Amino acid sequence: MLRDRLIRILLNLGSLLALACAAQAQEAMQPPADHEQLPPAPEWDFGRDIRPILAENCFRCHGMDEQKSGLRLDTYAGAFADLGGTFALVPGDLESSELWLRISTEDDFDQMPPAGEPESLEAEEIDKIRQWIEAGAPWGNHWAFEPIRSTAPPVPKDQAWGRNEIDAFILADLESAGLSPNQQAPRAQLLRRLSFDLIGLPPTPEQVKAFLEAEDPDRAYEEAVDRLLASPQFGERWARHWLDLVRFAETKGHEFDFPIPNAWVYRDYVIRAFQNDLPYDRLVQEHIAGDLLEPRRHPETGANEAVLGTGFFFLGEEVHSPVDPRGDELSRTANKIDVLSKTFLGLTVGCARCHDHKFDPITAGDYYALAGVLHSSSYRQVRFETQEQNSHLAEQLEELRAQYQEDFQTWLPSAPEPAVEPDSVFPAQASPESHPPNSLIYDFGAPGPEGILQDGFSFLSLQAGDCIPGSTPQASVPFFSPLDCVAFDPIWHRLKLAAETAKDPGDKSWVASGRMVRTPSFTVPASGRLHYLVRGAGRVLAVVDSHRMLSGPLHKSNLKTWKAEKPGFFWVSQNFEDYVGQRVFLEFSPGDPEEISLALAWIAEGKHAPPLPEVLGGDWTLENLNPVSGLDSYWPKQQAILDQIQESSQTGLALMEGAGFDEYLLLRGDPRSPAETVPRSFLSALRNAEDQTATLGSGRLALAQSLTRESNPLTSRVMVNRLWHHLFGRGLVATVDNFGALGVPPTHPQLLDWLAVRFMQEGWSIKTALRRMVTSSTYRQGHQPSQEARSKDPENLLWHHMPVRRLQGEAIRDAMLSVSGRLDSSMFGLSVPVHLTPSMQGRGRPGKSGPVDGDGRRSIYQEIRRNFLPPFMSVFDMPPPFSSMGKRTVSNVPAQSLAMMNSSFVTEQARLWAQRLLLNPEESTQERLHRMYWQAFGRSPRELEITLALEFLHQNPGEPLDAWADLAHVLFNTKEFLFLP
Amino acid sequence: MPELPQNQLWRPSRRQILLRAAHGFGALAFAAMQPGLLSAASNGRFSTRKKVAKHVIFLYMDGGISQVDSFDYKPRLEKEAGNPIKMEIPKTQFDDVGAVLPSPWKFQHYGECGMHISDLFPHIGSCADDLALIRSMTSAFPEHTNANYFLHTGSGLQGRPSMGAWWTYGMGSDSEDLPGFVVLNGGLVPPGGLDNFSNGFLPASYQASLFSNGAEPVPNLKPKEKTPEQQRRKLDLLEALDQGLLGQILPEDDAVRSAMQNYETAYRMQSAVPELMDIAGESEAVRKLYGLEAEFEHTRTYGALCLMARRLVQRGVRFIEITCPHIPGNDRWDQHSNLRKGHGENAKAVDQPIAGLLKDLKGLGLLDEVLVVFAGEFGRTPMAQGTNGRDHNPHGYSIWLAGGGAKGGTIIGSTDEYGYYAIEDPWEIHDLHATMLALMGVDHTRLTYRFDSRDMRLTDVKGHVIEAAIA
Repeated sequence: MLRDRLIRILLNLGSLLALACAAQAQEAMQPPADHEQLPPAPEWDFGRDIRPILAENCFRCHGMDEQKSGLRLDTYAGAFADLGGTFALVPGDLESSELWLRISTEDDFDQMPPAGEPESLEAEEIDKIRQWIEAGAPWGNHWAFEPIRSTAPPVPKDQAWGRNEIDAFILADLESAGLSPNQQAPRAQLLRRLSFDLIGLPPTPEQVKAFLEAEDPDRAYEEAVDRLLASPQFGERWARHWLDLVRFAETKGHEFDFPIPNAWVYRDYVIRAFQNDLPYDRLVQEHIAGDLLEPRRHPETGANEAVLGTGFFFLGEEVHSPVDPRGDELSRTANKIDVLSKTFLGLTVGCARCHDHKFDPITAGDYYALAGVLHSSSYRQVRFETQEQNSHLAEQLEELRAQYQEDFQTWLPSAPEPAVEPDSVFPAQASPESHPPNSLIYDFGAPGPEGILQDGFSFLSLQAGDCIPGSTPQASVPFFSPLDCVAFDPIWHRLKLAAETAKDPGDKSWVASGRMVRTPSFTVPASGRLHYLVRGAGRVLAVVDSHRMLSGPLHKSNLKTWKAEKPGFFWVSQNFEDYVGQRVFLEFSPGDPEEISLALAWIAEGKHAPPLPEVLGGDWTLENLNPVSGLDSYWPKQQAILDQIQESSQTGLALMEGAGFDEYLLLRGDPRSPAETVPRSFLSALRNAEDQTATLGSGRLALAQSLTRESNPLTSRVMVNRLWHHLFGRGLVATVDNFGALGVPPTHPQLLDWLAVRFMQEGWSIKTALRRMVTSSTYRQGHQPSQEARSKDPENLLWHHMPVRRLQGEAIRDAMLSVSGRLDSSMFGLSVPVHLTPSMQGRGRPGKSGPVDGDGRRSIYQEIRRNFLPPFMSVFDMPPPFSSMGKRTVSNVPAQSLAMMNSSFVTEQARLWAQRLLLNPEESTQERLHRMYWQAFGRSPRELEITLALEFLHQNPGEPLDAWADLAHVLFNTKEFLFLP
Repeated sequence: MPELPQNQLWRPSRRQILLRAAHGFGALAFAAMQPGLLSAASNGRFSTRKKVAKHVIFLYMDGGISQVDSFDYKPRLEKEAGNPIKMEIPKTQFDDVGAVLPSPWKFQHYGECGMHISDLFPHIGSCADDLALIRSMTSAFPEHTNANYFLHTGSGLQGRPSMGAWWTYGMGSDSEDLPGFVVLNGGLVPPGGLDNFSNGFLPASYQASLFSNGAEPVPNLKPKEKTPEQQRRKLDLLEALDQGLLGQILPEDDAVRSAMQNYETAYRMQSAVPELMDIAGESEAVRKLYGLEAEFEHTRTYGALCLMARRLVQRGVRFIEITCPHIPGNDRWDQHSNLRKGHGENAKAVDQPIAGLLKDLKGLGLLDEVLVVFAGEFGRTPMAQGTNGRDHNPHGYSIWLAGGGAKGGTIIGSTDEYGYYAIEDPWEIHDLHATMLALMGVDHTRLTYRFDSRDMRLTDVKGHVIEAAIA
């Protein structure tokens, strides 16, 4: 049983080796001849081998969308159903299986797939189906879609070795394979391992010494675990793992590598989330719908953290001036879906863009259901620091205004005689003239069921007759709305950006954050012209197929700005001739504070603007009312609220909820071949009764809940497996981003499920899960396998030892900084600009290079420009940020040696380290050597090492500093510095 | 694990394959392990070919060279000069459609084949009988970056392996001291940046090494030590310390051993690269041939790169790409305006060196095993952008192949009378890739790498070999 599993695993691992030729790979996959001969593995697996054939050749007409002749082959019930006396499949009986007769017949009339259709079966595929039916047509879900099953840990024979349940699972398998675990690693090595794994830095000499001197080693170990988990640097280490999943970068790549403004805010959010052990289900929910959840306030600043999770959607590549915005949008969306599904579910839903997934139960419909969810929301820079505080003030203002309104109505009869009768301005019944025109596209006075869509709360919905006062008695006059509309409340002109806040590329003068109202999406009408009935100065950005950049030759006309040339409402027109038939929404924001404040009523279409409604010809308030007297008591109350407004905020990338709409299913992924629309919803294979298709809004909140439901078989499994991968060097499922049929099945399925269940039971606590893993005896094993273990399980699939691992580039760099004394451990904030080497050329190259040593900050704070990736990190396998990379490649190339031998950064750090060593002139050479070894490796130098070093120093021609710098440089290059034992 | 003797390379264990895939240069000799991949020779269409190409030199014409001014003669442009173009045209990058713009250059017949080539390229014209000219190439993207990624990686998006990465993954390298995939940087990194030369999802060992002119052609190549002896002393100490760790502090582990060996390879590279870059030993005749004596500075620059490419071929490097020289005032071949000046100067820079390369390879008997490819990411519009420029045109443009089994003196496909759309035998980039691989003896459908739960290919699910281009 275990043996069979091992073979399966071996075979599957083999497929990962990515040998170009399958036949050759098979040959190479044979176990070495001196191994015990194992029985042959089953030749096929339903999920891996049979389902794909059916999916590719049958599902189009006998699947989810269509069931010709009543046959549905993508479900068990459908495939074995009684079709009126005949059966598509009869287990073990070829002649009674209609499916077999149809695919094997020579008769053109009966043949399936029918001649002339795009599908056709190869001879070997037909043969596989024959074997499968003969073997009883076993049907089954792929393991990863089966519910998580909690089983009690096994009871191994050796009761002394294990420390916790993990060990029980691991040891039981080792025992049945006739193997025993490795002895525990030396204690100093253990602390080093623990320290790099949990915080990405080496332990200090003091920490190692205290650890070694402790009387109770086990207790000292647990204390070290607790200390490291509580260290702020834990967040920095584990955030970097997460950034690999969300293809984190701070520029958009493509031609000019424009910045992604304030991407670092997301990075800091992730660091804090790991640092504070944010429950993982909440982390997932915040990524999908953090803007729609109850705010999670930062304990000190009061900032809303939750909304920042959604920023990850915008960390991808972006084209500055696409000729085909729809095609471009679909590419961006494909990347988002790819990242979302791999990161949270370990599934490659991106494969279903053009057709149903060939191997996993994911349909093209599932893909476009998600695309609809994503397209129903839009981008913004959110004022996350002040949003919560200010929204409460906005509510207080609203109450105060209601009072004002009443007072005003009372006062009105005593007001000076106006030039125009108020009755004609505020008719009791709307006159025909004030009805919206027939060509109306959108009425701000009567928004859809989602209500007004705005970023912030600065736009107020007004009904005809409502008024809002100015921000001060002197500065402005009240605005009476003569019809239903939305109006910008001028008090919010005071909102500012924090000093470090970056603006979107393009028109930088324009800051919409917290001051923007948008329309739902609609299709650009054939007239190709839109007209906006507005009052006051404003701007509009037309977002066509979610493209919003203004930095290229095309699409510049999508931004329109106007002044308040006259009081009252007037029409502003914008040209859309290039976009007829495309999807668009409009984002409005106010113009300069000095001008009349913005109000928006109608959006109409047509070659010409509709006639101006007569009643709106002037601005009654401006022409007829002087600043209001008699309401003096109002102003101090308003001022008390205004004084509390937090004016300045940093912004961060975030989603903004729009009005929901369903996306079309695109045949072959081609935007020119839309089929029917697909309701916005979660993946059909994982959907249950609680999951519903979205009616109102984007459906993100429901998606977030579906992803984190305890019945979801993937989310918790995928995450505990990632944690395991980072600690042990290989996941229980080796393909950490792909739990689908083409991934590798788990080496320890029961352990995986046990961990996943515990993870959920313990509040999705990442630190608790990690703690259990690193305190296990399994993790504490040594790295030298026995001869027997090596020959029985050469791949170490059973974990009979801990593998030696090369450190990641970040850890190598950070360790050098730490040892040299240069490490600046300050946290958070703007990234340190990337250091530009001469080979880093191309468009978008920054004008100025960052410092060679990155200001001594940890690697996670070094800027990541998509087109100018830091070479030291790239050469050590930091992934190019194009999609989720839960598992970095671990290459071993001469370019790494060159970087360690000759790069300025490394030699500079070696020299700094030498300077630090020479600070005390009293110290002997021997003492100094000891100090070096303790700093770099947490141990004393051995006899051989002292001899070699002394000889080297002795022979060195230059100054002592040069000699010590050279020695330091050599120690940075030793394999002990680069590999984690 | 002890180092394997060379003669056992062809039957390694799985571990060893993994190991060797990840390490070193010479160790990339995958071909030897993959008879099914390389020797389509034994089954089918390549069996008749005695020789296959071993190296590629890819002359990348960054920015999009105008087909109607170079290799695709269109008399109709002269007839309708200054008039609005009489066809429905697609959206273009700048949406600034001007009148029909005839070529400022005259066309002549070259070679025995009588190929029409413009006065931009008289030297290349003299090699016409070696060129397989494809006048009906198309791209899927009208923007530089997408089109560059597409040309280089077969996908319009960032993150896929570049051609050269596929080549070294599939065919290894014959060089022990140099990387298998070298980009000679003439001064212009194309839009999309270094990702055009990326290993994408393939292991990092397959990424391009960018060689540039100057004191340090390869990053971190130059030792910081004052004397070579001092560096040697340090490396000796390192070796001794590392040896002392093995089996004690570190396990006897393949990866650790390989990391140790990498220092020796790196050390050798330090001298191999300068030796490669030093062309003092080349004869006067060769220098002249490549344009190293030319008056125009940029001809000399590009000539040196072409000569370097030949030297890389001689040292066993599998795939060499040359990017264009940076000529101040011209934005690559991307002449949205000032076509005459921009194309004129660019052509002056590359024409003689490219012809020199072809002739030199031929003279050395190397042209049969070196496939030279001349291509930009797209072509340009037959009507003006503004008054004197041309906008991007992915719908029909010219590229050519020479050497490596390509059929010289051949013209494949054609565009419409304006030279806008490919109408006869339109080909796409996937077909170019399939053909290039075919010339190496590789079936493009079998060069795969499992990623993202798919067997990924350079040609995706597409690609047809352009049979007419193969001798």
